[in-house]
Amino acid sequence: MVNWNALLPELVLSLGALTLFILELFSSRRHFRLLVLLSAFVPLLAFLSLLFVEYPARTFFNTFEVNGLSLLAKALLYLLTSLVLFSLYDYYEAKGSPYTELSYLSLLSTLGLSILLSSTNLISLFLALELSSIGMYVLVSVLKEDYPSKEAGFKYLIIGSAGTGMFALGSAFYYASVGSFYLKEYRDENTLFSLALFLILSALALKVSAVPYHFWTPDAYEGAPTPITGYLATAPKLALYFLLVNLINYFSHAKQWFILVSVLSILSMFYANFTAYAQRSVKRLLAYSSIAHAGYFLLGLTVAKPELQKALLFYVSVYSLATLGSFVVLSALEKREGFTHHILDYRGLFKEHPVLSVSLALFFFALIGIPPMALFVGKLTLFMGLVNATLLPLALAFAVASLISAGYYLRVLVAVFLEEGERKYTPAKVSGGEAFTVLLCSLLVLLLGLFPNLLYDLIKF
Amino acid sequence: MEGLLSLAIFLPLAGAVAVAIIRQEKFSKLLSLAISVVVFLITLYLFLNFDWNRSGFQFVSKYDWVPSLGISYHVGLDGMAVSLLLMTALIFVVAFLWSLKVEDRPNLYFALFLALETACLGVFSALDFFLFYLFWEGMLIPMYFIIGLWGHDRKVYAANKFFVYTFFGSIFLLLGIASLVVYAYLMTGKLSFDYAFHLGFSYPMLFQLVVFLLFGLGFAVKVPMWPVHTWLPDAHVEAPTAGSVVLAAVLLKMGTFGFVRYSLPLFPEASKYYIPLIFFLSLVAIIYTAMMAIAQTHIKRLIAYSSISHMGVVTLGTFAFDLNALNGAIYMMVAHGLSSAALFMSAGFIYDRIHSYHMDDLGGLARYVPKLAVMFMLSGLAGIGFPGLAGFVAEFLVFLGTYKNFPLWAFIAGSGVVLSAAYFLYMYKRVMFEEETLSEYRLEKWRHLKDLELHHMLSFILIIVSAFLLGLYPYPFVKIMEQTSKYVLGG
Repeated sequence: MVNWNALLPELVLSLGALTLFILELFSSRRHFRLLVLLSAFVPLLAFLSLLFVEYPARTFFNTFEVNGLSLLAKALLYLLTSLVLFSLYDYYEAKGSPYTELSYLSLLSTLGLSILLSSTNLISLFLALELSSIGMYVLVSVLKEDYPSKEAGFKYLIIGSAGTGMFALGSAFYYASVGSFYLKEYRDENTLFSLALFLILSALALKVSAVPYHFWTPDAYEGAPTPITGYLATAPKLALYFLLVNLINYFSHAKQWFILVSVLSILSMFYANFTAYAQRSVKRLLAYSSIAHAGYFLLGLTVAKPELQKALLFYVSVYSLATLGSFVVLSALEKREGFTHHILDYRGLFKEHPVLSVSLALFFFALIGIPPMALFVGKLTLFMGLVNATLLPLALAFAVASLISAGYYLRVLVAVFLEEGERKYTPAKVSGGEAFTVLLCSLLVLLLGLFPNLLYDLIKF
Repeated sequence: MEGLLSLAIFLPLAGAVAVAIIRQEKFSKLLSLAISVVVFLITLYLFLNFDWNRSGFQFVSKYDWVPSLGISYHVGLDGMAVSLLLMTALIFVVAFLWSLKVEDRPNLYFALFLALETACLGVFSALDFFLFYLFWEGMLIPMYFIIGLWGHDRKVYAANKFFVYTFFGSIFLLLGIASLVVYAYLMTGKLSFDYAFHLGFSYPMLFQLVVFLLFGLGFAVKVPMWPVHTWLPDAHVEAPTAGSVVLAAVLLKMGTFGFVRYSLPLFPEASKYYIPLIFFLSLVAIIYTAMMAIAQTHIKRLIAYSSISHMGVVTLGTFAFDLNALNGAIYMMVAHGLSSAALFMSAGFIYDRIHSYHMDDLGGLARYVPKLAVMFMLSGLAGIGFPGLAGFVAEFLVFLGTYKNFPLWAFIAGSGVVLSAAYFLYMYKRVMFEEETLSEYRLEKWRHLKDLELHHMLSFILIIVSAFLLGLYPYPFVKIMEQTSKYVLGG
């Protein structure tokens, strides 16, 4: 028997995507805004449907599991997707490429991530990962007459496929050693299991863009349409960390786990934070910031300790809000003619757009980890978790890395607030959706910083 | 009564929001001044009602905030905190008075200063590590923009340097707080950020040694202690006058306050272990930076170095483990807050009128701006510890106490303090006298200089009167500070 109730949010998403697909067949480019706004309500419906899901539950021969944690992850995921869809219409219209396909492609990606969060089986994981990735390959490339976005999509596709290959091969080795595709407690260590661990971890590290699997990130982030970069930097990251927290129970007993994860983490933190200083484009800089944050987040996966994973999940959730907010600000700015995201284009922004500048400052200070923004609480709880696991050296590395990172965020803020602009742009019109998203993200980042328990207490294992 | 302290802390923040929304220049200025006066009156009331015979914290209010992480909203005052709170409130009144004529983006300016006031008052009142850190870092963003937006030529460099140094210190402080909380959690099974909870806990030596360093790094950058002091001269030189005043008078005190409030009582053994290190750094600060001060021709830079030198005396007294020395150290925090504020105001006034901080451009001013000459002299004397003014009592207590346990260190430090008279009098001579070397052109300009205006005069009088009060009648102040010293030294 299939337990349809457990699949409710996914059903809503797929039905929504199908409806939009059919609507899209019969509509022209003129209806772009309507379709996109309609699609923004689908994740909201899915979000509401979460309230009716009974958990814990399993279905589809136990490949699909619903529990409190996965429901929370889905709630956040739907919220992020909906915010992205609310904010993107004006950007595409201003760029003259109102591709109506956006509406259902992003929903399908989210559907993939949503299934990913509930999978307990490597095959369904693989399928979910592919469903989400294929949607995103296309999303990255659709921007009319824009060469960098095609290049970004192509690179993302090639490197993403390598990740897919690694995941498939890893699953095969897992099957060879464990004798099943189901994730289960497996205590016997052998070479095949180590190989499986290595390959699967590499594939997932590629998806969360940890060094040395980060190569696609700067190009894809920079080339993609900015609202999609916002999606790319938040929704899949969030889902994958929830997945990794789930996987840690099955893999972390292997002695390679700790070494692999901490090496990935330290490489990401330091490589990205130093390389970010060489960037001239703020969008690309945020890509490196995302790689650095992947390093911080991986620290939360080094050992299986509930406190540590709780801190990680809180951190990654509020990080998504701050990052999404920054990218929406960036996409609102990009609508100005001739604006290229070069740091010089940001000079004197405060005079022209005080509200956008202040929100950007809020998100950047949050990313540095200054209280009272919520990322500070994430940092603090991650510190506490690391100390609790007697990993003080890693905590010190984290402290040093986040200190290094302060400089490049500040450079952008210096350009925005303290320098005078030379070029005059047409003022950017901020659309209702963008304003709403920026406002909501900044309010949430502040609110969760002052009252972290609103979210923190929901993360239960 | 119970909510009075919280009211004092958050009133400026509410004012900042109001100023940011309404954005009327006159309204901003008057509201800021009014709020700072009200806050000053509240802190004065708290100060007068403080019972120095009772140990422990007073005017306490405590509410659960984030129960799952053991975080509470917990504020209260001890003797040191109430003195520093009063000084802070006074300094902000002065800073707002001084800034009444600001024309460049006044609304943003006053909003940032009001936010800064909340952070400063909060640091001294917080009794919860999380709350403390919130305020501690909360002052970073307003101060960054105050330096960066209203500073002088190299403001961006100075603002960034200030931000990075301070953030460098505070990230380790945060790590220290996390370690402390988690350690107590592992030992007792109770997760709590509450200061009082940790106070009754004794940590093993190795843990103390490590965490003392983490905390100490955070505080040392703020004090600032040699060799992490280099941000201070730059920040001061570039900051606008009121920014310098707050920076010198209040922000520097957060570091030494942290040492007394957190390092000493939480890590008593580690503190004793690190005495040679701290003393060495303090002596370097006292002597080396005083010599640096003598070498300066930029008056603000000179005063900035003198601040570092004076803060060296504070750290010396803090770690001398003697009641008198600790009293003196706390006294010095207040005394230096007053004198450095007045000195920076004098320097700022000179810049307003003459547009230069360089001694080469100055000279012979005493004849043309006599009121300033008097105020400048008095504030300098307060700084170098002239009897009858606040600094004297402080230095006397510190050296008296230090001499008892560490006569050699006290002797060297005491001789170093002589240098302070040298650099101040040297500066005073170059700025106020030396009329002979002035060009005709300058003399002509000096003849049209306008002396202190009413709001300048009021600001100076507030500070100088307080300095005299502290210098001539130290008894109640020492008594109140002793309330802290006693529990810190465990007696």
